[in-house]
Amino acid sequence: MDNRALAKISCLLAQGFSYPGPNNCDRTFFATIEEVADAVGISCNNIYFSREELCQAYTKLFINEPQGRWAPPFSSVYLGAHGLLMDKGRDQAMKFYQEAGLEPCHSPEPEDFLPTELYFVAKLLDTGKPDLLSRFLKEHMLKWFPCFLRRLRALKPHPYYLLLAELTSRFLNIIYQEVIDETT
Amino acid sequence: MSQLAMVIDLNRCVGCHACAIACRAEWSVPVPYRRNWVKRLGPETTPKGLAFTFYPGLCNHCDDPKCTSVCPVDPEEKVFTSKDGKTKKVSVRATYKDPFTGAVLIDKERCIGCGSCVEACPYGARYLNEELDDPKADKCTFCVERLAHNLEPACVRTCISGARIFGDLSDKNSQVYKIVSSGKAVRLQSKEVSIGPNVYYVGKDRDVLLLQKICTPHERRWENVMAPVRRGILKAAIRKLAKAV
Amino acid sequence: MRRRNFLKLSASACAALAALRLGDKDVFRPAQAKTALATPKLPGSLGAKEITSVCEMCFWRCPIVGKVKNGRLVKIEGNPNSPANGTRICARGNSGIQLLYDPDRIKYPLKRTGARGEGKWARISWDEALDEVAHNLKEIKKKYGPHALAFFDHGASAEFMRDIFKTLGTENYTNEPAFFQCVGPAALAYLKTYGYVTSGTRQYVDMKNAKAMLFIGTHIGENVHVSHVKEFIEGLQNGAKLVVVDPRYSAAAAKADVYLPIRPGTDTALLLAWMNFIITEGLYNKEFVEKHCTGFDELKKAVKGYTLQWASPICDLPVKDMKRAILLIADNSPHVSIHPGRHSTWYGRGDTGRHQALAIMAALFGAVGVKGGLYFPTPIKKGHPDFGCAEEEPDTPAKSISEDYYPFASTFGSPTSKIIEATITGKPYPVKLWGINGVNIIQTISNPYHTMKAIKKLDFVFCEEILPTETAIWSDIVLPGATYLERYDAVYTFDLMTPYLTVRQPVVAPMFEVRSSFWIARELAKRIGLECFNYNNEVEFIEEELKGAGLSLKELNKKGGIISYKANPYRSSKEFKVATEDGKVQLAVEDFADEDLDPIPKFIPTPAPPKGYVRLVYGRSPVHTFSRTMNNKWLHNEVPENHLWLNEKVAELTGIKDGEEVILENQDGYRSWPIKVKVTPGIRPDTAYMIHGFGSRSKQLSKAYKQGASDQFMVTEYEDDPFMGASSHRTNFIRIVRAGKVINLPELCPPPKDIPRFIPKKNRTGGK
Repeated sequence: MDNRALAKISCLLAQGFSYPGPNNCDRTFFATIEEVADAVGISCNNIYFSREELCQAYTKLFINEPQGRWAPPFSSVYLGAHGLLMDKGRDQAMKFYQEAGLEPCHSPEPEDFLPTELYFVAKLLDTGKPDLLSRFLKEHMLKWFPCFLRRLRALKPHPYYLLLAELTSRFLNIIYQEVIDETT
Repeated sequence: MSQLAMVIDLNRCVGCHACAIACRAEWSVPVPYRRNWVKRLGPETTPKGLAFTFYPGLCNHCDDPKCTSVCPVDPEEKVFTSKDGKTKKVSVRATYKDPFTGAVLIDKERCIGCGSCVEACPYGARYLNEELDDPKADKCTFCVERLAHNLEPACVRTCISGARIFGDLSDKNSQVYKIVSSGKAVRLQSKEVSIGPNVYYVGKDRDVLLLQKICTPHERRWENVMAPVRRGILKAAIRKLAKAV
Repeated sequence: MRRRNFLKLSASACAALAALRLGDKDVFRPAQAKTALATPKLPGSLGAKEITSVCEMCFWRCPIVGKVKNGRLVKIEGNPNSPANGTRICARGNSGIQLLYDPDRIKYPLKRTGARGEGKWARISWDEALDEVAHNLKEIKKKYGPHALAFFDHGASAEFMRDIFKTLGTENYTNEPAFFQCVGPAALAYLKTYGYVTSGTRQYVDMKNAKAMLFIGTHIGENVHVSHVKEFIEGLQNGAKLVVVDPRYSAAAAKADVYLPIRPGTDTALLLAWMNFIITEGLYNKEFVEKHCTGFDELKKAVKGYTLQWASPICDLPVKDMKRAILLIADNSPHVSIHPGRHSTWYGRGDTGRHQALAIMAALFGAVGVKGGLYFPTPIKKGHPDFGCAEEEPDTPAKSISEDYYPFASTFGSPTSKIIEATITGKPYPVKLWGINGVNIIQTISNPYHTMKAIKKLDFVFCEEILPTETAIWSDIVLPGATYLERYDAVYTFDLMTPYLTVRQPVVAPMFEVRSSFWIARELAKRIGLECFNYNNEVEFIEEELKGAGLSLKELNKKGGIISYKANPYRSSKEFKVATEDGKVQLAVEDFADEDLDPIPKFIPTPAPPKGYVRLVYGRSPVHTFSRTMNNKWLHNEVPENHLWLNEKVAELTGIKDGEEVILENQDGYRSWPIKVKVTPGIRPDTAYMIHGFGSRSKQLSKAYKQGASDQFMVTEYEDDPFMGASSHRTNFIRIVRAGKVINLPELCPPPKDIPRFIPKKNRTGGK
């Protein structure tokens, strides 16, 4: 599979981790997720969830949850020593974006929001920057994503988001391996 | 020769903890570590009456810092420059006392993170920052980095009741000199631990008595550091090895 | 393994991938040179971009400077140009960064999807959220009338929305806990005595220049308002003598020259006895009283019976100590600070009287309008933008909550307890919608069980919140408010000893989809169909306000964000005049008499603890603001939980050890969460004390949940002050439960017969 397609998968995952809306809750989207999951060795059957159900699940897992049991999708929470937003993780992500000559367009989320970082992976794949991609994964994303995944798993969360997270984990590791292979 | 020093006036201190937080904010000190702390003491009966006071503590930049002597890093020559351009060459380890300012500082480049100095300090003023990939010792620096820009230490700047007085003991016009030379200020020292801390305290008799009762160090911790030093060096070596693989 | 063996997707999947709209177009753009993330060359907070603003970690609102490096707020300090605090701010002010970047923040509008109190939400759009709120406001008003709408408000964020409720015509457009759960009785007492609110949001008492100070219960140092603490300490440094009256040895008591560990609930007895003493001994300021006071003869007669000997067993204080204290004040008068107090909702009955007594004391010493005494505000001129909201008070219904229960409530709003009662019972009329802004009502209002019961009966409840508090968990719609660091607010003037004008402006751009309170109010008004807030943004009306002060925002910022003015706090005898009907200080308040209330304070004892219990009192920590800050990592680290202060003799007799974890049981049988005991000589045997605001029930506040115990949940019994309807908070009693066993606490300070015993609800026969 060429980098373009890999980039698309990264965008797909980014979209999956964005708030449920018209672009990520239709059958085509779910079907594509299923296929990608299958391709990386995760079996799943006929994913379909209503947008309403996903909105509640997403809010509970990634926005606000009264039991304190949620998985903030921001690198700073895991990389900084304070568990806060806009910490070391965000600065690190910004430095990487800058190295690629990019900055995030204005969005409500901090710059180290998971979908944003997945879109960045896509950009690096698209524009052929294997060295930068390798470092971004090694020094940044593969440092915090496993913590995020562990925290998410411990919540026994909605199966869809658990699937997306497992899928993303595998995908990132595959990409990293690919890039190492390519550069060595 | 200069000696930076601080006097904490317990008559002014209300125990608001602003100093501890301002330091944390200024230097990004991660919880649970701290460079600057406030302990609440009492209410407790003392020979001079019921006392309820506070122990704002930090590194004392001692006259005879034992922490610098337990550092296992080999001494190297370092050139120090005074404010008025004088230079001095001194052989120092990874932590040392600046000959011109009297501040006790840590060279983060040379520190191997063994934690010996942390063990050695009888005031518990140092900590090993194990949140870092490459752990380093850390502590109050009397904000020398800010002093270089003619700004006061962060804790002094925020103290809401002006209880923290900072200056150079060799400057006879400074407030710290006046207070210390009046003999009214106390140092937290004991028979066992007398290494000349340069943070002094003044206050009502009952408050000072309570402070001394609870917060005077008695343990010569630096004398028991050898095993921890060996452990620490080993730990540091293992860390380095793990990285190289 | 060659890469082409990985990730084989079907052709259809590839096609689908290619065809899907994956939102990647607008995520990144080429980096602009100026927004490049600079490597910070200078250490710490040096070299940061500086923006001046106003703190709101508490309600003193110190001027601050935010230091921003690479788009991130790294430090907050006091505004060096501020005459009140300069570079100084307190622990909470320093920790604002933690609030701003708290991942637990409310980020988007939320809609409740489970039951009220469950905390199940779905994110919705602002349009949807505002439409729903506006729809309910309109519909419920239509169905039940405007008074069915009630607004619970506190702080700067609530100001604009309050105008909406007022314009909608409800009499219940405000019931600030600032008044009904806090300063109300004091504010009323001083308003009626001196014609202005000597103690409200601010306390106009000149401690810096005092020769002596008197504190009744005031625990400055543990409650921190920066410039107030600064002036207190400066006064002491200038040689002022200090008398502190408090059942607990507070940080202020620890600095006192005379400390009186008074029996709780008897302060008015002490004050009346002192008044009588200084009148009979001729220690009062005859000239001031003659020239500037009305009602002295009435006062003299009314306090005749109160002697120090009478007060001694009641207050549990030796006569010689009470004498020593009052003589210290008298010797230094008129330059004495009789501190007016602030949080005064202690016992319900007698609260207004206690502060009226303090007000009278100051007048008897002539300690008003002179150095060291109570002083007058310095008005600062600024413009008044027309927001298009109702100017007039709404029409009150036939039976009015704000007017018909307590004669002086309407000065401050509608008494909270009556709104809650109306919500539950439908009397005097149904209240069916609550809007909440800037207050965590479950942790603030007395008897939270009652509050939760009321919320269940509402047709609709919404809040503007910053953190996922208990209030957010009980709301139908949660609107994410911007923190003070992310918004503008109306121009702020400070009219105390160091007058200034400044403005709150955003230090960083709002995160997520939080919005300023002005924006929220304006959008809501639009949807309701009100012609309010016709300004495009805050800057527009701020410019109007500044114009009235001869400034513009640009000019203000050029001058360091703050302008100082010269204070005019004192009045010569010739100029002395107060805003009462006859221009004189009212030593007897006729308005009170007109409502069948005491024109001169009497000693009305609050019931003593039942045997086996001690009175539970609470106070502040310098590191926390009410129940707002327990989730703040830095502050939590300094003070992560509260402890129960218990007298060392009581502990000895019951075998309770210092640091032991116990559970509290109050007189109604409610139990607290576990709390550690602090065994100390610094509290009376008949009293226990804890810091307010802990024991959070919101599990979403991941650090605050279950840390320490909540004093609020022990306040199940309360009484309303008969003057304005403020609710008492110190009329509950506790005993200890240790390892499941109930421990009755020994009574070491039995009350005299003048003080009745408290009878728990379960033991009462018929009625209250």
